[in-house]
Amino acid sequence: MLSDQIGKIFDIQRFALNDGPGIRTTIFMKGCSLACAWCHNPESWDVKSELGFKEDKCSLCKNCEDVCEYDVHSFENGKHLLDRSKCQLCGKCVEVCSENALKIYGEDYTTEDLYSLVQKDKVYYEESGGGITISGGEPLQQWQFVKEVFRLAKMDNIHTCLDTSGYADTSVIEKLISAVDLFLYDYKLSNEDDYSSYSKIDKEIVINNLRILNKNDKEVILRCPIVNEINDNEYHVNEIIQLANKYKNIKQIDLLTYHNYGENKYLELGRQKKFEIQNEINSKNLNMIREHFVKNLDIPVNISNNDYEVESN
Amino acid sequence: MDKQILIKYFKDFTRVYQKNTDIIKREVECLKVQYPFMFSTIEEGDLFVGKYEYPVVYFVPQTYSNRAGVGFAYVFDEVKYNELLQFDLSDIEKRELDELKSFWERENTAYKTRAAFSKEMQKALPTDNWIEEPGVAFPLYRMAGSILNYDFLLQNGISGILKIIEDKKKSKSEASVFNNGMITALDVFKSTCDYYALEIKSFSKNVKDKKYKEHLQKLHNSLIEIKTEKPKSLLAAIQLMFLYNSISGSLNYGRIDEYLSDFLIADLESGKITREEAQIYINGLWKMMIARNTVFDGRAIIGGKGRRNEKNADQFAVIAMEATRITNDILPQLTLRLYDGMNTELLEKAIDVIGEGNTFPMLYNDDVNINAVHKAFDISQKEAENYSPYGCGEYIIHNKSFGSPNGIINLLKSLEVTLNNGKEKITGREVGLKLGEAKDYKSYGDILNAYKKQTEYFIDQLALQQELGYNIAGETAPFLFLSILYDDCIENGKSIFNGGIKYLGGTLESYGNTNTADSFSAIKKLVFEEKVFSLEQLWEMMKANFVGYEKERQLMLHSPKYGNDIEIADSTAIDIHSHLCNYTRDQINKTSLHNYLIVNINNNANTVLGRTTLASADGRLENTSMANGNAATGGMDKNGITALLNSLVKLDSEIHAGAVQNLKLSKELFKKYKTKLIALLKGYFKSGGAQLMLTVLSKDDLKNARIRPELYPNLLVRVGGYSARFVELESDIQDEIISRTLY
Repeated sequence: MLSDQIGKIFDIQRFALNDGPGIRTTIFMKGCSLACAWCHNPESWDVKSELGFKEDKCSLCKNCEDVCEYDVHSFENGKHLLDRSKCQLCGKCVEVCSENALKIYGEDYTTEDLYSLVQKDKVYYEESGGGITISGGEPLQQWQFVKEVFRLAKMDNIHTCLDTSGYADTSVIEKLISAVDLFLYDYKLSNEDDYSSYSKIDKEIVINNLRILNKNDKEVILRCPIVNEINDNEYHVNEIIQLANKYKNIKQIDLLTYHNYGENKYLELGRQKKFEIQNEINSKNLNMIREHFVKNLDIPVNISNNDYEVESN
Repeated sequence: MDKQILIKYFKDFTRVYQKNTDIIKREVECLKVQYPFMFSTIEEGDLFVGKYEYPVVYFVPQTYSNRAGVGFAYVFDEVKYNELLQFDLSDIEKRELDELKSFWERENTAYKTRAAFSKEMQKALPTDNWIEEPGVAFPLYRMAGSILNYDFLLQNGISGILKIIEDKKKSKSEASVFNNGMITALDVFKSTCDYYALEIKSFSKNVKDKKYKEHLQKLHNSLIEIKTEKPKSLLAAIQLMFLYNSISGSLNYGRIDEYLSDFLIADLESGKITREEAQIYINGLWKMMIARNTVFDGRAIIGGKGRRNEKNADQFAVIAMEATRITNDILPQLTLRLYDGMNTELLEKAIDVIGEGNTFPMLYNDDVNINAVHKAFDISQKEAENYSPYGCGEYIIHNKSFGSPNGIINLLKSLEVTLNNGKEKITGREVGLKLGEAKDYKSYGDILNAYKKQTEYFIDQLALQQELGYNIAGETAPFLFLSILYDDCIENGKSIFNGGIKYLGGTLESYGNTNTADSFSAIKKLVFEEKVFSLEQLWEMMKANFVGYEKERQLMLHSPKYGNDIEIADSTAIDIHSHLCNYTRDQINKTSLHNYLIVNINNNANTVLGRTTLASADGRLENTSMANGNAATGGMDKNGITALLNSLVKLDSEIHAGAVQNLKLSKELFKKYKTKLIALLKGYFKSGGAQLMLTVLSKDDLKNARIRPELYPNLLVRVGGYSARFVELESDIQDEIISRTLY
């Protein structure tokens, strides 16, 4: 039975305002193999659950050490040390943490549980023209789960939106396509030399899947991360323009500016960041890019302004 | 003011009071001394008259004091008395004042009401001092929340009403004393008009500004006019309403758009005034309301179903909201009633005004509330259309029902006392039922039922106290100005608290509802399901304020909380809410009250009562705020605003007389996402939301305002059922507001 699917989810945002039209519930699926240099959701990479620890919040109360049965937590010289290899993800330390410094990223949901949560805000979707967005990570890594949730949503006439890098087998895209009303489709890099260094994405696959969406006349908002000194160049911008001119299903372009809010999450997960991105993009440069788009395209081009995003926590 | 004049007033008022034993005559004679004495003179820039300052003793249905246990009707003001003592007084004067004081200390309704308490009431309600002393339940002595029939006043004028009373007198001879009382009260009103007409004349002589001088002339003429005729202009209508409101001691304004808008439209259509002038008038009225400083009251209602002149009233409503935007103050507490199919301009305007940082208008949903009031009050749908929130948000039926909030119950303290076998821990007072020690409750059902029984005991006593208060009120005075503008009093020949009105009811303010519900959720999970600790151990932890029990406290804080749209926590909240409301409502079977209903309206008592409440099983520390109104505990609503709103609507609104939902929204939401915000509000109202009070802030406004208060003099916030300037609040109240989740 498809309804027995289990999905691994690392966050659910209700009243999400920036992931498609209207008021939405956005589901963040775990698992992504791209490891993009600018990623601000490193907690999404591993498809398994993992323990996060915000060292700057820790008050060294040692409640966690007291309750942990697996000796994950220890304290030495006023420092809280973690042995993640021992962690069984039981979550007991999280329940007693006095500063909310500990958190388990990744929770299992059945499609039914998730859907029953999503449909609680149906009245708000109806009033605003909103719905459900599934994001990630790369949600297509758990495509069977996504497909079933969308199927349930469509039965209730809830608008569905998939936020994807497009990096998946075309057969997967084809299986899902009828259940998705709108694709938020990433286009990250144009210069193929950059691929190995900044992202493990395959341009050919991404473009091919975009072509499939166009063939099926599926609405797409192209989401383009703009990162200082990586892809804020004319070549990339012109490639985007060409794509938008070629595929008429692209109805809008969102430029997502890089921000460094994700920096601490690498530390929180005990990971090293591969790249140091020095600066957030300067607004002058961004405006020039936007103007270039506006001159060459007749679809809306928006700049996401992270200052206005509603905090999730 | 001159010492001699003040002392003379004090003596005159007291003498007249002592001389007259008949309560109608006594009130009339006291009013004659009190007015126009109590009224202040016109001040530069005032567009209307009717400001006042309370003297040392006065007649009023509800006094405005921060002290507990003051009383109503004939009120002796100790602060004013102490001011009198600051004068250079002779020994004789000192002795005289002392005698007057001793007289009024015994001769007040708070004293009289308490003196009439039964033994059981004494036990359950041992003190009036809810501000400082710990306790489960407290009496409040006041006749609060009248909303008068201003439409009747403005449509008939003083002369028209006098005629109606005279006619009644002829047909019902037995009521003639009461009728004569009302007639004399209206004479007092007329003398006040004369007083102000003279004041304006002399004040006007020194006014240079030609336009203002002209206005004063018009105001003067209006005061003469309203003495003998119906008001014929917006100016006269406003002045009549406001002066009557002031003289009656009523503190709320009712459906202002309905009763003023016909005057507005007539003046606009005849070219008597321009729209700009109309706006200036309403701004001027707002300033008069601001000057009264009735921060917990001062409600003016616009919009909604059941107005006889909806189109006109809607036009007035837009001007009213603009006045609120311009004056940018904590008064009047402008309240917009909404319904499906209404003029959309009103909601749009409301969002714009709120978005600029005003806490008004507050939004009330007729599509839910009319039916809720119909059921809770057990009255017809038609009558329910005239529900009016007054004060902090208690519903009454304007000029038909009375529902003074005369009791306070702290539910969290009730649970605390239940765990301590009926004893209040801090004072050692045996206030409640002895149902057992913490160790005696063997199951979740045991402790829950014991809490309910304990709470019921206090509600019983509070309902009796409410009824007693009305009896004392009826025995003390006819409250003539209220009776004149309350339906059926003239008709029945009876005063408001003596059988004159149709629906004499009461309301009970409840606090700590959310913390109690969350405490039970934690107890259920940690004590009885997971057995992490026993109830006895929990009680030890609460007494220790969790010192040495930090891990256990964290488990409590991490237990499911109301406000997250989580079934397990919300169902407990529903249980606590339904039990409280239904049991209270059923008190009509034990008293003569037409209705007796819970209000979860909240002023700042969630903080004040929290100061004397022990640590609680939801993880809250001792002496800290409890959650506000129906809201989730600040910061505990973690699943987003729609989850919070979904939780709110689960609490049945058909069994109480009002609950407040304060939401703190970011300015960005208004600026960048207006359409989605309106959709959010509509969705909430569609799914059963009764009302919303919005405070709009930038993320750092509140914290910055604490550090640099001088830069934020006008930062308005919603405390509970009232608004305030943030920088003027006490620090723990500020903390409570900061702790609320910002969406």
